[in-house]
Amino acid sequence: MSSYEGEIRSIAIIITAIVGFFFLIEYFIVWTPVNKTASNITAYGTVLLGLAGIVGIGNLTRFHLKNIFRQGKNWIPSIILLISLWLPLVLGLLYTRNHFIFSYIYNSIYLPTSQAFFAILAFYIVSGAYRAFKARNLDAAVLLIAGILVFMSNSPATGILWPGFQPLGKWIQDVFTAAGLRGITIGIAIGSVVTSLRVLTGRERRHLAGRGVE
Amino acid sequence: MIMSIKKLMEIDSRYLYLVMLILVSIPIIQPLGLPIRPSDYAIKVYNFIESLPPESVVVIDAAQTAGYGAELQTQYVVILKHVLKKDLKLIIVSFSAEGPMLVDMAYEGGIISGKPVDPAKYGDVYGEDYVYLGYIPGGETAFVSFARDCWMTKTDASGTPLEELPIMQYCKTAEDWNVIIAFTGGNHEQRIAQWYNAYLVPLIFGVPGVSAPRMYSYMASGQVYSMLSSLIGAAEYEILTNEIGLAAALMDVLNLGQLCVVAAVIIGNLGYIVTRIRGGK
Amino acid sequence: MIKLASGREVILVGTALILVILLYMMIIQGEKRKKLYPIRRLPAMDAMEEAVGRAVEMQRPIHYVPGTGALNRLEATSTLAGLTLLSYVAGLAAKTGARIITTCQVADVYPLTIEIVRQAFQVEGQTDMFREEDCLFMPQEKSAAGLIQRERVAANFLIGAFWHESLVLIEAGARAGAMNIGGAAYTLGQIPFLVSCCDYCLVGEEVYAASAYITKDPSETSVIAGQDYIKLIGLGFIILGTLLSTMGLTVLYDLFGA
Repeated sequence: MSSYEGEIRSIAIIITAIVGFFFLIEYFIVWTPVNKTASNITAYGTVLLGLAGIVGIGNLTRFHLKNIFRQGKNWIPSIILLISLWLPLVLGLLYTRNHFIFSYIYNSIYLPTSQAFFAILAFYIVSGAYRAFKARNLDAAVLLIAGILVFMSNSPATGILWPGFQPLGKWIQDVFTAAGLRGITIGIAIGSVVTSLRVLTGRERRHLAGRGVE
Repeated sequence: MIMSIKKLMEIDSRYLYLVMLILVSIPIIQPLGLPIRPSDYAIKVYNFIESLPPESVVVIDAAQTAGYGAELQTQYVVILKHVLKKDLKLIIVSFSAEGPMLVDMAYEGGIISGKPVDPAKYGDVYGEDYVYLGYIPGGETAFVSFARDCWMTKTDASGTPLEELPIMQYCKTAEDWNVIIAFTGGNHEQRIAQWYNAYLVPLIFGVPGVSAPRMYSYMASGQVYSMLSSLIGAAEYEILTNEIGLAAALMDVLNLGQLCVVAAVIIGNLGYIVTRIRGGK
Repeated sequence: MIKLASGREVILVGTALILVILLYMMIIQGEKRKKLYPIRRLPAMDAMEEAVGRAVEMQRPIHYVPGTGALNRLEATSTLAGLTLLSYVAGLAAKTGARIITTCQVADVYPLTIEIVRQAFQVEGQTDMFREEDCLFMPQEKSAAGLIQRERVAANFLIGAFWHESLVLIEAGARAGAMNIGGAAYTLGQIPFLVSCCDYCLVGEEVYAASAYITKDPSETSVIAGQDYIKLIGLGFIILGTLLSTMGLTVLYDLFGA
């Protein structure tokens, strides 16, 4: 790692710290210049992140163009990918969603394929449940029984078998699920805050492709 | 017998997919009409909207995406119909990029929307009783900005200046909202922080099934008033509002699908237990 | 004129922040004294080396997804944790000669994944083994299911913030015969899928503790210890609040409640 990279990384850490602590302090202050500056910085950040999208699109285009010119593996799907990427992008930019081709692509191609991907989950849940939901020990058995009861409660037709499934499932969700998730949420929140503080103070640097921690 | 149980345990997943496919296809060909009983959460949402005084401001955050479309879009359509039926002021806004496409789909009809929703059927006039402000990018910043100034877009989704829309006189800031109903698969905490915690506006969520468990603690603390969860929530709401649509029609499919998963779990475990008892791995 | 923000939420956030800062200062003291706090065994972390070794033996690649969350939203810390572990797994891959394929859905995280993997190979002195074409940008992460099955990966890592695509990727890994190792913190809805269907899983803040577990560095273990102390204080508030509410005293609720 050259010292040039090290200096750039140091600048990134300093900017992170200044902006991060500014926002932290801004939360507790009601003063128009500070609040407006925070809003503006957030808007700039949103724009920068949009520009980051260009990096991804550019990289994807470059990778697949190379594949097409070299007639590498799956070069025909690469052509389809690039058309699928750029055509709606250009149409959307020029004509917004009102263009009939854009609407057609969204309603007749993107939406059904998204739905199909989502629908695959149903099948994967069945195979996952068959393969992995086994009562290997006491913990797994408790998880399994609770899961089956909640499943039965979510399926209204099981009220025909026994009307008690729905209230029992609701009780499990309201009491056990809520309590368990509340505990996990608190732990995650604390972990997030501490990690954020470490990032703000420069003690955590892996996101900068650094060597880790100081 | 052990060999056949072993074969059953190692069955190719594609046979399971075939069973699931057959089961979910049956109700599409021949609807079964299995009963649907509204849950307490759906009833709470229904009663809340029913109890709103005339000309109350209802803000809908149509942040559905295509992936969660079948769940959130069906919820959006049934709530839309309910709000349009009543004498309420409806402001629709999207904080997701796909929101505008799905808002249009509700009026035009579509594969995940069911039949078109016609506001004129309920006596509603665009600009007086309902308005669509379009997509506001920015995530949490957008939530804050919109709550502070509902006129921030300056025009509605089709470019009409907000000054020309009488409905917008009812809605300047979040202080004017009577309820906000958000249909979204993520960013729930940000909405709770920026809308409920900041302005104490009653917040109702339409969520996909996987997001429902995290809502229980927020409902218990009162930060979220109630929710519609998944296609089931939409179907329950259709029963309550007597506007039977796509969700109720798909409930048979959902029921059989869920029973298939339960059966897979039970059979898988029976095979596992028998194998363990007979000393196998 | 400058005014302090008011409201119950501000009091709650302010109190929490002061606590965190005080404990953070305690952590720094612990670092200076080089105290090593023990972390309980995390099977998923032990399995990572095994998974990479398996990939080398079977001469099949590793697949790593650092989540599908962005860096500008609440799931950012989860994504950072995923990137931290990517650094570790990529280092293992470089050391052992395994091929590592990373797929990333988020544009602002994608350049980081390339740099992290490149850096990991550079540190191990295996720069020539690094393949940028194995760091893929996939706008729909679930499309990686096809890649996982085509490449017949031997180890499938899903650590970070996930939504509904997690089960697709896990099942794709299972069908390819891969060892699935998952980890989710922010997105609670996916934890049940990861726990049930992955061979090993990091749940909630185990994802944040993973880095400390690997390095066994006093500075990192102090952070984990500090988090646990904050949780104990939170637990104290919960018990106190429960007892007070049971007795009909709502002082804590009035102070902190929404």
